[in-house]
Amino acid sequence: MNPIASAALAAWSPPWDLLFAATGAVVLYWRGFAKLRRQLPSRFPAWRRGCFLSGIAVLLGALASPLDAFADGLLQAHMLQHWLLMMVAPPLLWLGAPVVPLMRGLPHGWLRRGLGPFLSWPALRRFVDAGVRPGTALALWIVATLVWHWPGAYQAAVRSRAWHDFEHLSFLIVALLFWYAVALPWPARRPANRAAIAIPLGIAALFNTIFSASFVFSDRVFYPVYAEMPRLFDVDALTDQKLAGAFLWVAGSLPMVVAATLTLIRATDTGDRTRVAAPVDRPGSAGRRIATRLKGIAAAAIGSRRARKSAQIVMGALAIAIVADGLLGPQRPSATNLAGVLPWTYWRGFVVVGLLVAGNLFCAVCPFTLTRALSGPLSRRFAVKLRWPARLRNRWLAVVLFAAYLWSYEVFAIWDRPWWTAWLVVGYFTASFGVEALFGRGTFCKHVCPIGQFHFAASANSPLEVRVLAPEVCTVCSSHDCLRGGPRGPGCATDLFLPVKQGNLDCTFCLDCVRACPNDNVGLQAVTPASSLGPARTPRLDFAALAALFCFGAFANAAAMVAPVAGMPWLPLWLGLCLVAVPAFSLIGCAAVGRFATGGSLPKAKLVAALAPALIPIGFAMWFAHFGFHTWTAMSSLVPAVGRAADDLGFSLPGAAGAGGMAAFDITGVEIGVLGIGLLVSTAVTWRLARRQTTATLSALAVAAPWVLVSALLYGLGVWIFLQPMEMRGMSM
Amino acid sequence: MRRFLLAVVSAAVLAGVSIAAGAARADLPQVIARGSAGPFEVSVLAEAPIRPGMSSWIVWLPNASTEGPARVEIEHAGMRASGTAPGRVSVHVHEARARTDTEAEMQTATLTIHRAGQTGTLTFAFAVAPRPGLVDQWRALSIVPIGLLVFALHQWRVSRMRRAPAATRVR
Repeated sequence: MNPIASAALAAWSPPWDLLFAATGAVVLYWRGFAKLRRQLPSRFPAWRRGCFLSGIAVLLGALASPLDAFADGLLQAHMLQHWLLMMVAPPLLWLGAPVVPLMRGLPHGWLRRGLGPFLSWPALRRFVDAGVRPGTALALWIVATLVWHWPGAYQAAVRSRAWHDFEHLSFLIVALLFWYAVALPWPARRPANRAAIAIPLGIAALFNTIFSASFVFSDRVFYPVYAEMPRLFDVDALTDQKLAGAFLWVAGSLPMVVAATLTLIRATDTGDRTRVAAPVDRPGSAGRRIATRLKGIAAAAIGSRRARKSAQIVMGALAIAIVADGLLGPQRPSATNLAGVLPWTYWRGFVVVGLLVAGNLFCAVCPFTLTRALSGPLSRRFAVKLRWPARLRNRWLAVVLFAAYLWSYEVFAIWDRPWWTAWLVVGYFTASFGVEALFGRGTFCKHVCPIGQFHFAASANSPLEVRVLAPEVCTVCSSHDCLRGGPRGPGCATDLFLPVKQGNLDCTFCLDCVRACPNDNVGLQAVTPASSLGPARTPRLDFAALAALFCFGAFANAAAMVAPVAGMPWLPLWLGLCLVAVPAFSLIGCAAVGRFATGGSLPKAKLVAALAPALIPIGFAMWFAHFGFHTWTAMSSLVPAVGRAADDLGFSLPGAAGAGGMAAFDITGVEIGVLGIGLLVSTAVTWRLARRQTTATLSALAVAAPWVLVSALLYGLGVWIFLQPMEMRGMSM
Repeated sequence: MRRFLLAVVSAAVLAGVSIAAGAARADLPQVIARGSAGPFEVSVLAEAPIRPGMSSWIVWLPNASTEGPARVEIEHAGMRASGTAPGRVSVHVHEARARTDTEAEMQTATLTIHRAGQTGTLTFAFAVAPRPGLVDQWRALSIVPIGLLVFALHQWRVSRMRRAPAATRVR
């Protein structure tokens, strides 16, 4: 391949945000289209779905393919991009009639409460109506084309990624407006004189002809930036410009002519266009049968006690491998030891991904609770059953242990010391066994385990929750087997009574309650992430402390890994302040402002307890971005570590010697994006909680403002952290 | 709803895989030099692009098999860093990390490897990219102001709808 072309391809990186947005749009459309097709089969034939998907594919082809790599060096490639963006993708998208399917693809609550207020906004309707009027849309189209092809603006776009993206965005918007007026996707109202749309189409075609001809017939290069660049495929800048103009002339006029012709034909066609409706519902279709079967298999696998035990045994075996290698294997570099790789590179990353896409999966398969099988019979044998002290029946001990864990992790560099990691795991098993043997099932999880508290706090952001399916069934239930256990199995180990359970707090996802319920009235249900942090939760100071530590700990933990912070003198002291003093003062300060704003009517402790949980989403976003970074950067580090361990045991794993190559992709933007979403969710939860405290809007604003400010400051800190060089844990010596 | 979630997760995984499949500029380790240093075949990995500030380098000696530990020295811009690659019986990765303060231009580093009485040297050039700026991340950063604007508008609309007659609300 041409070396310059190779270099351009090597420099290209796929735009993650566009890919995710396109994926989300396809998922929503597919889901909504399937629903609508069952109800209105004649309005939503399969070809419409094909059009929409083709439109998305063309969009990705224009913006998220290697074509983008050539656009900065070749005018033809750039014009091809613009043609796809303005003349191919938009009409295909509108032919898919996407407005209603995209809305119906959303969960009902999101549509009603989230989009509803906007859909009923008269000013927004008027604004959109004005934008899609053929005359307005055509004017915007022409202005955007002329402005962006003016040499100054065009060259700025070629030289700057940001301007280039903005250029494409504006092209896409004006093209969507223009083609909306042409395609009029359902449920748009059709004008009486449909043929009139041929006039703006004709004007657009004429404009395109003049515009393209100026490229073809000019003897000077419009955009000197191309003349300065190394030439691709031996095409000089002027020839490139002429070829680009010729392409635009032919290919650009084609969609206009086709659209105008079809519109005129349809406008003059008076024939009977009634179609035979397809069957309304097909409950026995193959796709549906497969979906039902998959759901059944998944449900059986998730709900099976044996499956859970098997997963726990696997996790237990991994824990034993960590302990053995940590104690007996080489200590340096820690990346070649299983105790340096498995917990700190993989486990943490997979845990946060599991929390985000499902729920508290680690607690569900926690190997530390395997010792329950021993501790239970032992305590019965020796009749040892103490009561957990009343003063400790809260989260304070776990919060202190969590803070100690975060502090010692950085100060003693546990991530880089396999021997310490091994003893940490041994200590965990011992503590779990001892506490469970002395104080009964679930005490360790609920009152001691700092990892569990991390998961409990983080799982507030999870999309799944163990819930009662029909609350009215519980009102007539007297056995309460979900709590106490019964003939079908043990009840909840952490004393959660399902009818009053709020969110995922204290829920280990063990599903014992699901199996124990005699009425089969408990299940794993989809919920809106972070909704359990809302006003329904009973405010508690210990949970507020956990939320604050969870949030500030995320930022302290990440900050301690970047060069400017890692080299600071007195790091242990600073870290201690960041984990204890800074959160405490922040919470008290926010509450003091809120109390002042409400005229002293609300106690500070109540405000802290009520509003601190709103910090959890931004804290979780930071944990997710940070752990995700380490797992991503060191994804293949398991191979050399396993190979080394296998070598020590006398085995040889082929291929392990050459392993360790990384997938290369800039994830700084992903990290910042995730943190931004965390800030938004925290802000929304803060506002909901503040409205709960006071009904007056201004007072609620004053109550919420300091908390939002704290979240915003943390966001700024997080962005700064992501822009610093970070330790490549799991890979370095 | 479960199918919806399943679809979302699958789509996210697909998107992630598609992202990972592409060659790209990145802040992640990639090979910056590969060649022979005397008797040793060496690969050097670093975050890419290397930017001014601290960077972590990894030196790979893939066929180190039974030759015992190696000592690796990296000399760059007057700064010297070294590391010992142990792994008495290991045939796998041998690493050394150097923290180097770099400026944005083409620079040269020299790598010296000592093992079992043998010494090898590899000199290679590498590019240093400019320090990343906030402007480069404008798309990710714009999530917050856009999101806040939409949220504020949403809440304003909700408050207006509460005051408006029930007939105008969307159900």
